[in-house]
Amino acid sequence: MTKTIRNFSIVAHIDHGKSTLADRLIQKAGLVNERDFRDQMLDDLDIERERGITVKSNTVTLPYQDADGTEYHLNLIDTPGHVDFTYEVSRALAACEGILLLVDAAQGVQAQTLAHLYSAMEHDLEIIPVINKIDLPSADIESAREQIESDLGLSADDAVLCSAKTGEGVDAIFAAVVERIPAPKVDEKRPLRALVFDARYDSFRGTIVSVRVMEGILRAKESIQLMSNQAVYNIEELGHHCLVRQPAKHLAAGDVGYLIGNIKRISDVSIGDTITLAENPATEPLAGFKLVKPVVFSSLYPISSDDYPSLVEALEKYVLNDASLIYEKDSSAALGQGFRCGYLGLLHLEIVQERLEREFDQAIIMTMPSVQYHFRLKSGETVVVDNPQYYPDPMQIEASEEPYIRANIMIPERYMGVVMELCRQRRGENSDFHYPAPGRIEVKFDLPLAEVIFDFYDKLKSVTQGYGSFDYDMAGYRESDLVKLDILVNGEPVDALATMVHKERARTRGVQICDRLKKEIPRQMFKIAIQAAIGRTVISRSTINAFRKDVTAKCYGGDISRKRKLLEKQKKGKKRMKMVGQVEIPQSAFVSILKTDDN
Amino acid sequence: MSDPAGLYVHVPFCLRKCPYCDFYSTCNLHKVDDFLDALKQELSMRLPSRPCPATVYIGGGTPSCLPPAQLSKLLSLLSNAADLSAAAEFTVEMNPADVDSTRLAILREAGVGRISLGVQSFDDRLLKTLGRRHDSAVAGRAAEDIRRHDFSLGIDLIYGVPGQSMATWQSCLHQAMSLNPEHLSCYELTYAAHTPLTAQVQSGALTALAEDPIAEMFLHSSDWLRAQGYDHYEVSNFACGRPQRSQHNQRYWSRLPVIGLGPAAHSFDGRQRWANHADVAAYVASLKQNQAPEASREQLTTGQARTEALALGLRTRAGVSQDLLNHFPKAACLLPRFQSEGWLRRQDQGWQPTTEGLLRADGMAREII
Ligand SMILES: Nc1nc2c(ncn2[C@@H]2O[C@H](COP(=O)(O)OP(=O)(O)OP(=O)(O)O)[C@@H](O)[C@H]2O)c(=O)[nH]1
Ligand code: SF4
Ligand SMILES: [Mg+2]
Repeated sequence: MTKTIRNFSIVAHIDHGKSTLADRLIQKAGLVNERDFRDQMLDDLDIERERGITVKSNTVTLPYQDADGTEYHLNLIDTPGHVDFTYEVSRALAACEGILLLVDAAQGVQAQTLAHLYSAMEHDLEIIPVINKIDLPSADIESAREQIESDLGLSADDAVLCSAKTGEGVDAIFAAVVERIPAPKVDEKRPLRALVFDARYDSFRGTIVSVRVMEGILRAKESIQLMSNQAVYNIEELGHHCLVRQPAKHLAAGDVGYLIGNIKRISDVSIGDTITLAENPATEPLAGFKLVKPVVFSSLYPISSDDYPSLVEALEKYVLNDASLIYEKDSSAALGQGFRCGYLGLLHLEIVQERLEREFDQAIIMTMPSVQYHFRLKSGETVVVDNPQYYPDPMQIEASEEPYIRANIMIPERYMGVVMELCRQRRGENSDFHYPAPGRIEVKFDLPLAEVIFDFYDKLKSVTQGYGSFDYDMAGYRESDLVKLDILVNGEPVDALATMVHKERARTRGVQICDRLKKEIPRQMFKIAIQAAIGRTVISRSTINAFRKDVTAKCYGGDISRKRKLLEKQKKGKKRMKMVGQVEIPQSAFVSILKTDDN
Repeated sequence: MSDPAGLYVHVPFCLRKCPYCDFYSTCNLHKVDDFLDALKQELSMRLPSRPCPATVYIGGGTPSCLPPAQLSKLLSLLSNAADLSAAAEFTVEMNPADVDSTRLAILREAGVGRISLGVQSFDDRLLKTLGRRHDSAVAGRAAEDIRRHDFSLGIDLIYGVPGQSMATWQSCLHQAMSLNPEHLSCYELTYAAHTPLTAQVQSGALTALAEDPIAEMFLHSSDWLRAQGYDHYEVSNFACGRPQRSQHNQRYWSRLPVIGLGPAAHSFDGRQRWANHADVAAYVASLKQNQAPEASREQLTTGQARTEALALGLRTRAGVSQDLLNHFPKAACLLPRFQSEGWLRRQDQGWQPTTEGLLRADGMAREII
C-alpha cells in the first residue's frame, strides 16, 4: 500500500509559481470542477488572495493513475516563498520524501532557491528541479539549466520544463514524482509515531492537526497521546485533505493527513510534537523542529482604550491559527493598555495587523518595530530589551550589543557595485563573494538585523531591478553604539514613538520620522511641534501649522441637521485618531513611521 | 404652534443654475402653477388656523424670477393662510436681474418690508465665473430701485472666488457700502460636492484661492465693516445697527421654531426637525394625495439639541452660555486654551467668539463636542 504513496513539497523562491503549479496538479487530478476552481486555490486566506502570496503551507492529496493503471496517492504540500515564513517550508519538508524545486525561467536561481535546496538536502530528500514559466517571452531556459548545474549543483538533465500557466509539462511532473520520489520507507508494525507538522483552527471542529505518520498506524476512534505533555485525546475524525476534508478509516505509516480530536486550542498541541497511541505508546519522540523565534518586536494598542477587551479576545482567536505570533501585556503612557508582540519579520507583522483589522474588526496602532538588544550594565547584569520603554538609564550602560545576520545575496554581476554600496550604507561588514557561474555573484555580508528588517529586501530589489535576492541566517550579537531616540510632540515625549537606533543612524531616522509625522498628522486647530531628541538634545524638528480658518460660510436654508450631522460624523472620524496629549495622531502616522526610506 | 413661529417659503425655481449652487431649484418654470397649487394645499395643511408668524422669509431658488402674476398669486396664498401683518420682518430674496417696478410694487403691496438682493459681486469678471445673470451696473440700478420703493435693503456678497484679489474684494465692499444697505451678508464661496464649479476646480480649469488669502478677506471684511458702523453679528452677517439684524435668520441660530414650506424646505418646531422633498414633482405628488410632503423627520435627543446650540452659538457674536458649556466635559480644558489663543472672550454668563474666533467657529465646536 505505501508503495503507491508519494509525499512531496513544492518549494521555490517567492513568486516562482508554486501555488499556480499546485492548481494545475489539482485540476489534472480532477479534484475540482471548473465551476469551483479559482487561481491559487490553496491560498485560502483573504490576505493570501489579496497579496498574491502564500503565507501558510497547505496540503492536498491527489489521486493519480500512471500509464500502467497503477493508482497512486500523492500528498502535495504547497509552501510559502517569503523569508519570514521559511519555517513553514522546513516543517513541510519533514513530512516528505522529495521536493519539486521550482526555478522561474525568467528569473533563474534566487537566494531562497538555494536556501530551500540546502534544507531539502539536510533532510535527504529527492530533488526534482522544475524550470517553470517557460511560456514567458523573457524565459531563458538555457541559462536556467546552467544555473541549476552551477548554482545548485544538480544535473540539468533531470530538470522538468513546465509552464504552470498553460499546463505544459504537468504530465511530466506527475511522472517524475511517481518515478523519482521514493515511496515512504516505513514500518507499520512498530508503535505509532506521527509527526505534527501543521495545525489550523476551525471554530466548529477545534484544532485540525496535519500529521505525517512515520511508524505504526492511526485509526479513527483511537485514543492518542501527545508525547510532549502526555495529553490524551480521542480521535473523532481523520483523513486526507482533498481541498475539503475527506474522512478515512485510518492513516497508515508513510501517509500524510489530518486528525480532529476535540483539541480546543491550537496551543494545546505544538507543531513538531509526536503523536503516539495512549495504549502501547512509543518510547522515543521524533526529532521535531527547531523553535521559531520572533525576530521583530512591536507593541499593539487599540485606538480607543475602550476596545482593549475586544482586542484581547481577537488576539486569543488569532493565535489559534498563527502560533508563531507571541504576545504579552504591555502598557504605554501615551497609548494605554496593549500588547508587546514578537513577529517573524515585517511581512508577518503587516499580515497580523491586516488580519486583526479585517477579520477581527480591530482598530489598532502598532509601535515602531525593534530587534532585541543586549545591554551590559555597570552592575554586571545583562538585560535584553526589545521595547524602547525599557531602555536602561544611559549612565548605567557599560556596553550594548545588537543582533547580526549573515546575508546571502544573489545577483547578476553587473549589480555588484550598487549592492556593495547598499550593504555598506546598512553598516554591512565582512563581505565575501564567489562566482557560482559566469556573470553571477553570490555575496555574503554581515549586517545588523535592525538594518534589514525594514526595507532591505525592497531596496535590494529596486537597486537590482528585481534581479537580486536575499536570504539570511542569524549570526549572533556584536558590540554596538546604541541610543534611544525620543519623539516629542509639543514638547512631550510620546513613548509609543520612541526607538532604539545605532548612534550613526539616529539623525537620519530622526529627520525621517519628523517628516513622516508631518505628512501624516492632519492640521489641527493648534500648531504642532514635532521633535526628535536623544536625551535632552534635539536632533531634528518639524512643525504642522494650525488652520487659519475653520468655519463654513452658512447653514444652508435652515438645514441645521446637516451641520449637526457633519459634526457628529467628524467626531466619529476622530475615533481613528489617538489623542496623545493635546494632539490627535491618526493611525496612519504610526504606520508611516514603520516604513523607512532613505531617499 | 403656541408661540408664533417663523415662516419660510422655498420657491424652487431659477432661470438658470449657477455653477456653485447646491440649493434645490429647477429651471422648469412650467411647473410654477403646479407648485403654487401644491403650496396652497401645504399651507392649509400646516397652517390650519391662520396664525401670525413672527417672521416671514421667501427664499429659494429665485422667488423674483416668477412672472408678476404668479408672484402675486404666491403672496396672496400666503396672506390668505396667515396673518402677515404682525410679522416683525417680511423678506423676499431677489436677483438683481429681476428687479423692476412691477415686481417691487407687488411686493410692497403684499407688505414685504425687506429685500435680500443677491448681488454676489460688483466685479463683472467674477460675476461671470459665478455664472450670474446680472452685471454690476444692473445690480447698482436694482439697489437704487429697491431704495426708491422704500424697502430695507440687504445685500449678499461672495468672497474667495477664483481670480479674486484682496483689492477687488475691497472695492466690492466699497461699492456695496455706497448703496447704504441696512444689512450685508458676506459668504465665503463654498465648493459643494457635485457642482460644476467644484468640477472645474478639480479638473484644474479654475484655481481655488488658498486658505490664507480667504482668511485675510474675512478679517478685512470684519474690520472694515465694523469701522463703517456695521455690527458683525454672525460669521457671514453684518447689520447696520442691532434692529437691522435678520430676525428670521436669527431664529435659526437661536433654534426657534420656523415652519418651512415648499420643496426642500426645512422646519423645526422646537423638538423635531423635518425636511420636505427636494423635488418639485415629489412635493406636488404628495400634496395631491393630501399627504405631508416630508422626506425626513427626526426627533432630537437632548444631546443633539445641545450640539446644535453649541455649534450655532459659536457662529454668533453673542456666543454660548456657560450653562450650555457645562454639559460638555471637554469644554473645561478647551475654553481657557481658546481664550489664550484670542478666539473666545469671557463675558458674564458665557463665552463670546472674537473675530478670529468666528473664523474658527466650526473647529471649536468640533473640539468641544
Ligand atoms: N507566465 C507565467 N506566469 C506564471 C507561471 N506560474 C506562475 N505564474 C505567475 O506568477 C505569479 C506568482 O505565482 P504564484 O503561484 O502565486 O507563486 P508562488 O511561488 O506560489 O508565490 P509565493 O507563494 O508567494 O511564494 C502569478 O502572477 C502567477 O500567475 C507560468 O508558468 N507562466
Ligand atoms: S440663483 Fe440662487 S438658487 Fe438659483 S442657482 Fe443661482 S445661487 Fe442657486
Ligand atoms: Mg504560493
